[in-house]
Amino acid sequence: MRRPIGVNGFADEARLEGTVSPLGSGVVARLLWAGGLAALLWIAAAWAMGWLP
Amino acid sequence: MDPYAALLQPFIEFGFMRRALVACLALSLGCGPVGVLLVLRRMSLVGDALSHAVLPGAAIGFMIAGLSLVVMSLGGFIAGLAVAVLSGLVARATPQREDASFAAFYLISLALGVLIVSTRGSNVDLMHVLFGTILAVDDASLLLVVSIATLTLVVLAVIGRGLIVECFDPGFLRAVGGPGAALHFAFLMLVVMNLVAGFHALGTLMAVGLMMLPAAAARFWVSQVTTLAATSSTIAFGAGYAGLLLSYHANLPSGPAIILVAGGVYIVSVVAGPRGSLWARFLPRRHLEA
Repeated sequence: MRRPIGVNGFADEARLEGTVSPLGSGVVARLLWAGGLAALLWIAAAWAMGWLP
Repeated sequence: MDPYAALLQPFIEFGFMRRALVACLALSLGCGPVGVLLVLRRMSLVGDALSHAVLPGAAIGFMIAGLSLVVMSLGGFIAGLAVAVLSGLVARATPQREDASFAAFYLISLALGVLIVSTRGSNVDLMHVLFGTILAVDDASLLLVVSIATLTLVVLAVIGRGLIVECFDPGFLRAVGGPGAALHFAFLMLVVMNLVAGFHALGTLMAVGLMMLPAAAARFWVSQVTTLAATSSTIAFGAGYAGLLLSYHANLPSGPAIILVAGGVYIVSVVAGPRGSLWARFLPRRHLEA
């Protein structure tokens, strides 16, 4: 049986109810969000500086 | 006027408008969440004080190396951190509260910075340092602003949960052995870094504008911390985009135009936002019926 996540399995219940993002809410998920936003920002910066063809 | 010409053409046609727009995007992504945390921690005026505190360091950098991006940024970062640390030390070592010591140190910093720039530079240099020129953001400045935004996002992803816990229940954080002081210092570093980024675009006097106004406005629309940060960033970027367009079409200075648009959004939010606004408070609502 999978170990419950968080206090008394609260995070599991929250995920079942759809109140937690599909990526989860841990540091890895937050880093994925941050990395995604940063990647978009760098693409925009490359466009602004004329580095994109 | 053709919508394409009005809304997109300036950014397609002119490189300086593109760089200004992306600088606004980077500032929005960095300053939005940081501003929300400042508001939640009741440190809004500390952000303002730190934005002024950046000035003497930038001025000393200007004195040493002229309008050098790296030296002025480094000077501003060191000066901002020095004021934050000194204010904290005075507040802990004396009966004076932290807001008073912040006010004292930022006034000293502001006067010192203006003095240094005035004695060694021209009025044009002083205006550049005080009010910034977002339309003059070059590739190097843009890279700096984008790098600071990236670092901010990553650091917030790592320590964000601790910062939020410290906002709402610092006693709980201490009880579970959380590093409250280290988190506070890391947060102050993030604030100063983002103010240095904003300083290149909007000057020391208005750098805090894209940090505080969108965060304060977002409080009237949403309540959860993550949605607050997203809303704050969205408002900041919207204000940047609209302010740049306003500045382009009406021939207005761009920095004040951006901050005034953000101020307009704040006033609309105070009046008409769904959470705690004047509208929500005073509009008669129907009673619940069985």
